[in-house]
Amino acid sequence: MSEMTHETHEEHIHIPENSFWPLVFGGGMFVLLFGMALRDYRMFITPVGLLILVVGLGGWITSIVREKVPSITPRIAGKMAMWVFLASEVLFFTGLIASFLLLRAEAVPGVDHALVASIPLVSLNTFILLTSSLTVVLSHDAAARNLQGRLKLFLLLTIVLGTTFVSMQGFEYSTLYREGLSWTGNGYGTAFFTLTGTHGWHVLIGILWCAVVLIRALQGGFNDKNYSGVEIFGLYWHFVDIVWILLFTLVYLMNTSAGLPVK
Amino acid sequence: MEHSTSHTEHKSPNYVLIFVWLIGITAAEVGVGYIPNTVLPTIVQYPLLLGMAGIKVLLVALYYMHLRYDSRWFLLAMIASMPLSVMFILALVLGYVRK
Repeated sequence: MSEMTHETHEEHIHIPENSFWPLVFGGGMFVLLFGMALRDYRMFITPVGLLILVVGLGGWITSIVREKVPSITPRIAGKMAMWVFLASEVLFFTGLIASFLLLRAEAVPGVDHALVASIPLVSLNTFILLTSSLTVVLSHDAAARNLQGRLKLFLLLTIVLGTTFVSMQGFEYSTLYREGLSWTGNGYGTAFFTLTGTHGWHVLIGILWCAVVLIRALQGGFNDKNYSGVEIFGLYWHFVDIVWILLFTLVYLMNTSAGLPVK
Repeated sequence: MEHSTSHTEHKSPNYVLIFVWLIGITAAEVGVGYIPNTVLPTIVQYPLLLGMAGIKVLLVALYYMHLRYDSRWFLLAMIASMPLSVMFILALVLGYVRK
């Protein structure tokens, strides 16, 4: 542990100012999920929760951007915190994937024909997400070499690619709905949309995070000595990419209709 | 702590080459996925697909997330969650089988 301790001591430790925005964000999340669980007042309470969540998130991001300090997190501590968080995410997605596989095992054969038909589109989306992982790692590399222009360019490209991924996922969902696969239609549909939708939310959060990192880069917040913000964001983005690699195989390629000719 | 945690203390891998591998394996995966089950039984097809996905996961984790060069403590944090994941899946599968 000696190197870890040594490096931590060399870093400037900045403690962010007190903020109530995370509480607003958490409250919004609670109201949103509470509203979604309700049967009668869902349409009223859910938008209120979403509004509170967006306001809380906006305030939180604005307060971070306004700080304009070069570093928020000590590099090693921040990375370890992110790895521990990602470990908890492994458990989260394990539950969702396992539930999906079990519900699919009980589904009527052929119910996933629509998914097989969407494989070409999803393959293209997989290519886009893998490319975004490349741009993220190249932005990390640029930050480590203090190449400011490249850092900003690759972060911007990541936002564009991430947004494209989410947009194409939305298009795929609309197609699947037209084909008869819906969130509330059967257990298979519920499991599919919950699993891939949760991943989509993770990408959306990643896009927002990347936007914050880009703004901080534009403010000159990163250099070759101090780029933990880019590095920690990168860990999150690559993890989301890894989850998609598994989902692409498990959900689309390994399904009961795989190997059958697509109509 | 055998490996350094500093980015500058190791030569950066060829990220573009790794990307080419990732895309190539994905293309192979899609190809295997489309092979009719009468030609390639699922008992062969599924492990093949999982193996290729596993290689992609390793490539991203080792080189893009720098697990190959970073502290082993980060890897340990991730591995620590695996037994719980396995237990979780086993519990679900056992519950399903008993039903």
